[in-house]
Amino acid sequence: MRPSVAPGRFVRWFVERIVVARDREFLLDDLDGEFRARRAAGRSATGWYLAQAVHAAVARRLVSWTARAENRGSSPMENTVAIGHYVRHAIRSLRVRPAITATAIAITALGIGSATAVSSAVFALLFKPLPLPQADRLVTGFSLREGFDPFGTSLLEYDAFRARTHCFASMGLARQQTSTLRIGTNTTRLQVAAVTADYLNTAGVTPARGRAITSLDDRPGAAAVALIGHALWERQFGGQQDVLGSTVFLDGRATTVVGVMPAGFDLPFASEVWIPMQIASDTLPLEQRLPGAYSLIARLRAGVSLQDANNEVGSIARALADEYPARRGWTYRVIGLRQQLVGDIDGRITRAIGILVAAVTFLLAICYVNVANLLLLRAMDGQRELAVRLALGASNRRLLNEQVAEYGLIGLAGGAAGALLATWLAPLLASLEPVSARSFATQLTDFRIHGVVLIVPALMAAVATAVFGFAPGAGIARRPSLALVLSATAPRLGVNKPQKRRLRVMVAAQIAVAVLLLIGGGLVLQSFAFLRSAELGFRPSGLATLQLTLPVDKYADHRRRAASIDAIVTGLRSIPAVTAAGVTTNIPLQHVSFDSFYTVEGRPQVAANDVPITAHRVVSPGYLSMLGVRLINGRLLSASDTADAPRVVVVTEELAKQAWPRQDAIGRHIRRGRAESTQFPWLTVVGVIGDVKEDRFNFRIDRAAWYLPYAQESSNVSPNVVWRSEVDPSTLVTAISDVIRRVDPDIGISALTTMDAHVAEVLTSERFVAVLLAALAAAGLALASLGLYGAISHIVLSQQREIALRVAVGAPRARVIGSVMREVAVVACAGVAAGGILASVGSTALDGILYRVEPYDPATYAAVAALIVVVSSLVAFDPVRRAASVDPAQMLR
Amino acid sequence: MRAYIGEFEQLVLLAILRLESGATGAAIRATVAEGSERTVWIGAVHTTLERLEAKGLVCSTVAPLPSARGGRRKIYSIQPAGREAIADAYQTWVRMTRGLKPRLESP
Repeated sequence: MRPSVAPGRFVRWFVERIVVARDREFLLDDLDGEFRARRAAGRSATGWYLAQAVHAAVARRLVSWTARAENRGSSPMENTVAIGHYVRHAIRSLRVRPAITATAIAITALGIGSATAVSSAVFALLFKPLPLPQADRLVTGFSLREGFDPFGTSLLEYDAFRARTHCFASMGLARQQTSTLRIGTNTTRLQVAAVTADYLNTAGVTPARGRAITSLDDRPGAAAVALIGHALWERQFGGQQDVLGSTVFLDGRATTVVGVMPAGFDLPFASEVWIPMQIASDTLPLEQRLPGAYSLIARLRAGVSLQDANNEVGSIARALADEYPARRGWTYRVIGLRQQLVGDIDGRITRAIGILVAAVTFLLAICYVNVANLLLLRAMDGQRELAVRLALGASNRRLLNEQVAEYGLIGLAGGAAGALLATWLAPLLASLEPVSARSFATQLTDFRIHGVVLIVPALMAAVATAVFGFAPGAGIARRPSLALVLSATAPRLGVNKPQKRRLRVMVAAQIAVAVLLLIGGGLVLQSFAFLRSAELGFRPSGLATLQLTLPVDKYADHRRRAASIDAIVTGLRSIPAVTAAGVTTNIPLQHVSFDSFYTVEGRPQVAANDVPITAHRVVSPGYLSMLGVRLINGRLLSASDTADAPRVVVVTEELAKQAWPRQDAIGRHIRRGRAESTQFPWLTVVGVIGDVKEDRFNFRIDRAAWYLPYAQESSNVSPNVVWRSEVDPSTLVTAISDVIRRVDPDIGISALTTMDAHVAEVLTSERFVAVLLAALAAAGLALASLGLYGAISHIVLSQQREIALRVAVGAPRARVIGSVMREVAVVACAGVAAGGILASVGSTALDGILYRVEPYDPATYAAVAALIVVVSSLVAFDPVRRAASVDPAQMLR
Repeated sequence: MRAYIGEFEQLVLLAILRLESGATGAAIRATVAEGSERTVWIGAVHTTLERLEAKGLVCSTVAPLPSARGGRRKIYSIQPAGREAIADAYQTWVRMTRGLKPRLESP
């Protein structure tokens, strides 16, 4: 049988379809010819034929597309192929100068990485949805009085809001308490929220198991029921299904577990147990309805803004002030739940975050300009090649496309490396503890890069490409002349006038932004230093503290409380390592503070709203001396101030100034409460001490405070034990627990911390901003220096011939160096001036964040300017000196 | 200035020289494949021929196919510039390899 002379009909039909039209005639004829020859020789032919045809179809198409794409953009497929070509070219070209490529990618990555990490933090803190339905509609509120910590919501306000507001779809109230939970023989202390029936509904959360707290549970006298948190359920009940219906003892009261909350839910106050509040507020006397001891949650109706809600509750608060004299001077404000969770009651944190975002954007800008600068220098070196290729007929478009591909690759690689860097930087940011969130803390400080955040590096990589390409790309349009570039007289490295100008502008711009960052960072850092060294009024080092919980029923009588406290303090002092010990109702800067109105003897109330308030502390004798307060006048409290002794008080300087301006306070009389309420006795001032920072929220100002003897002043607040020792407080926990257990085994212990750690936590957000801004400013300075160094080296190198000539004709080297350094000085000064102007505009944003530093602090501005001048001289001096020391004979040969 | 030609272009030019009047694409591909002992793709041969033609090193004539099916085929022949280029490449090769024979052939 004769072998077939042509491939099968289908194969032939297929091949005709896939090859390029112009190849159909000659190329297919060639293939057919070979097919026949192979068949005749008895070799396999069809597979070979197909392989050759497919290869030809692809390869020939690539060739024609690349050729066409050089002239005009075509179909997406063709573009893809052309892009492939350019990318290959770009990779080859970038590999020629690996150091520049690596530096450019590294700097881009640094900029994009830090921007992505900060975006990730901002996203987690401000935008990432909380695990609650429509959490952006949830609000909370505060009672406010000028100059004081925001107070919680009072029952009076809650009832008024429930009766009179229209802007809330629902609302609920919670009260925080620390309770002892006993399951069998196992006892733990934990955070408990006593909630109204509507609280959890309003939050939009339903138990993962079991049932919710109903209005029947919430009636006074109803059976004790509790919902437990998911973590507690797993920890204490081993995640058992039969937990529902089991009985636990909460502060000694038998309580039935009716449900388990979903994992991660701990609103409010990082609670682990929720019980019904069981209060009928309308039956309570007014005094019990006034304290702002509750936490409100409310859900805004659809279409109602926060502003609308604030207008409404504001007018209700004014109405309450009219109805109840005790509410005079009080207002009420509603803020978003999220804002409260990140601790941003006054908006300072949001503003600080805004500044960080601005700073990181500026750093990114420096990075971009820096890389563009680097690439411009590289493009200048490539002038010769560019001119040759243009002369040989390469199209502008082709050269431009090649450059865009190069810069695109750098941008892409920088973006990818930046995203990687961010995955490492973001947890680092989280470890700086930007906020001290109390509920949903894990969600709010989970800075891991979220999918949405990846838009940031992608977008910035694109911007990077555009910025990088701008400067050098313009060089092609100018079409460098071959004759000029190749001529023997041309400088070894081409730097023409416009390019030099562009270089200078870019370096000056970098310096300007660095100056802006340095001034901002400098101001915030100084402010932070002032805050840290702010006079606390006591010595925190060596102090440690823990909270006691006295069983309510057992300690209803204050004399009994005072006796136990006295016994505990005496016991603590007997521990050898403890040098002093004391008890107070509130340690300084505690989250929850107790305040009191006060009335000065013989001073009439001037205005209705003029109701002075002081921080109210009830302390054991020896507490103040242990704290290390500064006694200005009189004496501190002592053991002789017993329940039967005359009632005395020690006041701070600020209180003395408010109550008795320019007069001696010692021996004067003052009492708790308003002028019209007479239930509290007059107290005699026996001592005046320096101001103590008692108030966490108003850390930046000194507030009035007074200290009353524990024996004389009834208080059912959980007292805090404070002791001073020379050893690590954690080593004393057992000894201290033993002392307390010996006094009464039913007294609970919690919240052990050192005073240093406690004080440091107050400035958490300030520290975060200061550290980050300082880091950004340092990075900005380093990058600007690098840019300056690159530009100066290049300019100097390109002028080497000229410098050599000048040295050869007898110019002193010093003068040559001087003239180049003058150029550097002009660029640096221009940068400093522009940066100073930018900073003077931008630093107004720091208003309200700065503490004891003015946004226009002249010393900071001067220091930054000096720093820039010094750094740029140092950076520029080395290349200039090297250029001037070249042997002219060698250079001019 | 003489045109620079790459290695594959040299091989294609040599194949045309060797084939004299019968230099079709298929014949060139087979010759190069045989001589260089490697896989040679017909698409690559056509691309190279187009490039050489554009450089003026080869020219092509279109002849009718001998079969009854009709159609045409392209026959390539070398131009003086092409002959010069390949001779040049050959001379370079000779110059560069002079005296290296023992070393090139030693294992």
